[in-house]
Amino acid sequence: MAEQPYRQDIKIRFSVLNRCLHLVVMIGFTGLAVTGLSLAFSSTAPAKAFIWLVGGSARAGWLHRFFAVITYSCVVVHALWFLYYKTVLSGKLTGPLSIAPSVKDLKDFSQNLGYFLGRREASPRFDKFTYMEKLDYWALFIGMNTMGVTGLVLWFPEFFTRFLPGVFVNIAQVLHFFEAILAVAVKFFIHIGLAHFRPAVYPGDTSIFTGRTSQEKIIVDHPGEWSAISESDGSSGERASKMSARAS
Amino acid sequence: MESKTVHPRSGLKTRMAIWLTVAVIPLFVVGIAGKVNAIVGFESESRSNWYVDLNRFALSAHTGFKCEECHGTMIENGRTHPDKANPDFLKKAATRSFDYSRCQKCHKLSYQRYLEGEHAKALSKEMVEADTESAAMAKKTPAPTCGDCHSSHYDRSGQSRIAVGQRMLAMCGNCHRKQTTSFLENIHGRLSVDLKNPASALCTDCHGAHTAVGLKDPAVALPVCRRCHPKAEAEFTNFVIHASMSGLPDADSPKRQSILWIQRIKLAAITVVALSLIFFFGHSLLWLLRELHEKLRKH
Amino acid sequence: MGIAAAIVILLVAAAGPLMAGQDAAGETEKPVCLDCHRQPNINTNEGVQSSKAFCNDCHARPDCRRTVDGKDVPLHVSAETFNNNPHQYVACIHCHTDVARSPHRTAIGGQCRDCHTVHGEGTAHAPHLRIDCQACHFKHKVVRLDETDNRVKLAHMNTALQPIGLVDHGLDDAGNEQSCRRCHQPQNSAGAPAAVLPAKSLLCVVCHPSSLGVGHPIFWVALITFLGGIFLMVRFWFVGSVQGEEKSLHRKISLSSDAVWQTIFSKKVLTVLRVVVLDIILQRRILKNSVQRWSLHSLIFLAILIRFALSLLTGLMFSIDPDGRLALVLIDKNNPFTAFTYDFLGLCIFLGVLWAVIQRLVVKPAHVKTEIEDNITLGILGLLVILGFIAEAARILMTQLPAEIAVYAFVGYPLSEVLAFMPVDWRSAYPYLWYAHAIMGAVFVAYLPFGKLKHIFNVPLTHVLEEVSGVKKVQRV
Repeated sequence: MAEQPYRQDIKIRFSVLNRCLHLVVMIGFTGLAVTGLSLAFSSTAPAKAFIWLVGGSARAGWLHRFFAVITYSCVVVHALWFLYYKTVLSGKLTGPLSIAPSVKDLKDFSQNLGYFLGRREASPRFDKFTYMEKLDYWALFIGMNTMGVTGLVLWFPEFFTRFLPGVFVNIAQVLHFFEAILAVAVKFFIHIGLAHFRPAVYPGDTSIFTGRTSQEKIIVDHPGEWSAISESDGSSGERASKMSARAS
Repeated sequence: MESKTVHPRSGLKTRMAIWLTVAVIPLFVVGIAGKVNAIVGFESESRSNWYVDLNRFALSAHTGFKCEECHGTMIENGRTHPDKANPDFLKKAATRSFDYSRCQKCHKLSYQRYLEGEHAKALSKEMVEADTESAAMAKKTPAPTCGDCHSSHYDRSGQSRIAVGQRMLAMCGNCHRKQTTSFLENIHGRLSVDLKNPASALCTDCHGAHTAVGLKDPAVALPVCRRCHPKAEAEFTNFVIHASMSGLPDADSPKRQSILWIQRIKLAAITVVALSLIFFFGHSLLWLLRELHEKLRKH
Repeated sequence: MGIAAAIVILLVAAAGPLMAGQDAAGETEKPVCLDCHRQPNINTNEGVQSSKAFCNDCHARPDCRRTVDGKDVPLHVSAETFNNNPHQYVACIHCHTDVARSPHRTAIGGQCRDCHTVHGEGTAHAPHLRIDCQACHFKHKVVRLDETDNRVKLAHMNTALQPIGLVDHGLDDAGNEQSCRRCHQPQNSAGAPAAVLPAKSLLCVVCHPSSLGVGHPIFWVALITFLGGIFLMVRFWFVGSVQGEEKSLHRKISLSSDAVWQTIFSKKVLTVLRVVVLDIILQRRILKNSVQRWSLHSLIFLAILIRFALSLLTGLMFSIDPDGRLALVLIDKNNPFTAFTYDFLGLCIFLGVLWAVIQRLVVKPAHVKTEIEDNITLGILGLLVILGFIAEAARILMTQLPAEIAVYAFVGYPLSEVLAFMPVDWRSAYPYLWYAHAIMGAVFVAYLPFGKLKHIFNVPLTHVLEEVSGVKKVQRV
């Protein structure tokens, strides 16, 4: 590979593993949404058209479970990575570079609302992940596990009704459906809207795909992160980018 | 930066209106979609029509039969037709006055199976309980005779499983409306009717052909479920397919409790989803507006 | 006038009952044609019941029988055999499609394929395509080989060799090895190997359509060895420095994976594709060097590559459309196209290995250095192919494949004619041949990351790396 000159102002925000996970979840989620909604709204014309396209409802069902397996395997891989992060890399769970929620996020939220409503001049000083990004991540975490568990109950009702009451299958169906509505509405409108149509990042924020972001963006969007990584050794440079790479 | 900007108060109401509407859109979508299920075509044919459409009859299963072969008894043994002296003249539905035991001539097994089943039991109960035939007729859903479900003039033979299923749904749905609606909202109905999957269950697959078996008793229901779910155990039968309270025996029946729980959880889920969507959409809209404002001010 | 009217009335009155046809209640002892001859709609549950009742009029009676060669063959179908059986809800004529006629006998037997798909490589593997479903899935134990169509079917006799009707509709657990022994035992008449052999392992996919499971323990050992070898190989690659990073393995992996990502999602991916097609598949650099070397190498390499592609295609087609023509052709070893193609490719590999052996051991050009790993590699490959052909010939002989079908396997068939002269019971010998070939295949896969065959990983990678990083041709390896 041609040696790319080391540019101090380009930082790695997302490792290759995270970029891959995002890609796979993106594709899997879309597949799940399309096949699942065709079943949930099966009386509508677009649903029937899609089922015809994939060759029948049995095929669509198989595809739905296939996408479910590959999407959930990303959860598993991510969990394994987390173990690696804690044990091998001795990473920190809290702090300005972490995605775990903290009290600061509540403060940021109320300050940010103030900014939206015109009572403040600027956004609060965000750390590496803003409260919205953390919410996105954790909502997805809860969502995928909910969908996974209820989905498993729907996939193997004979097994689960050996020790659960039969009505739990109905309840699983209700939860699966409503969580799906929430997830699809949030991901397809909110997530894509915020990543593409916000004036600050229009036409699109590609950092999840390239893995890269510029130093300037970090300073403007995540000033708390910038102080954290430049504080650690008093100068910006290779070590700083390594630190942010480790935590990504 | 510049001095603090002041936003006019009236803007707030507009903003609230906008994001309330936006948040509610997904709920509309869900609601409409649910309603669509219920409207799905129930073509109930008009019964007791004096005129037989011979074009349709020519395509039916009984084409080639002479009228007398089924209707011959109307004019034999000194009877007249039409019989103005009969007190029930013009008052009775044809499906109540025709003697369907005649169908046994060719449909012996079906007739026997009907006699063993719940519809025949309901019919004999009705005949005992009703003071007059017309009182029985006044019931919204009288017990069915052969002619109430089958059109001997127009029903075709050799229909595919899906075509039979759709006809069954329309026919059974004439009386068992709530069950049909709830069936269509359930996975079995969606797969068989909407998505035309022939492996999914239709009315007679579970409730028996002509025997019209009720499946409230788990011991009766388990072998029925096992037809497609061979590994099912007893608790599996408590999965609710017809989630409607109509026809449940008493106030404490386990199924009623199950349905209540499903409704409660549905309500809770809708609330959570609605609140979450309001929050997410509202927050994002505010953010968007603020950033647009900042961007505009830069130029 | 009045008399005429009276006569007319009398006539009408007399004709009345005649016109009516039957008495008021509609019950009659006279048989009605349509009672039996009405075609039941077996798409409906009621139709299934009616249809079965019609057949059961005779077949449910304990004394239902027919006489064959002077012996009584009972044809009583007991309802109990349908208990706990999915076919309980299926009409007789659903499967016995041609039996509702006179003479009342079936020409084609029960048609399982109208509803059910054949098994793929994993469950029952392709050799079982020539077996009728009932032979494994029904409870009757005696099977026979039908010479007319070379298919294995249930024999119409019990273990005491008395003629019976095949009336037990109970389904057997075909996954149980006991049912396999109907055919897979030493003196079987079905032309089956004397032992139950496992399905092809996932490791076999390099050359054969295979199942998704790893299978026999020997394949697990091979797989673990193979993966271990890959791990050691990759670890070696990361011993050096990566983009200036010497120490941290985590950092090296980060840097190299980022470099890969950057290449894939950029214009450079076209360079990669070009290298893959020209240098890796078509081996342009060897051709530049010497036509002879290219031919020798391609005979082996391209043949294995095409076999690998075919194996993947077969697996894909079978999972997408198992009843489709393409899938059924590809999984059937005896199909003309499949037999010819696989024999041709196998022959290419054999000729390539033979040529290589001749070059290294006989011709011995000066620039060729032969090391022990070269001989091991050629030995494994050569033995693998030879054992494969012998096994194929034994299979053709053992299953008594008719010449007009077998002839498309233009290597295996002549070989089978040669083997026919040997006084060997191929049913007993075949399992040894199968295991020999399988073990050889396992060794081949396990050895890949260790010996000279390591070049199949290193060389393509080097080509891609050099092209993408623009290393001058002079400096190239």
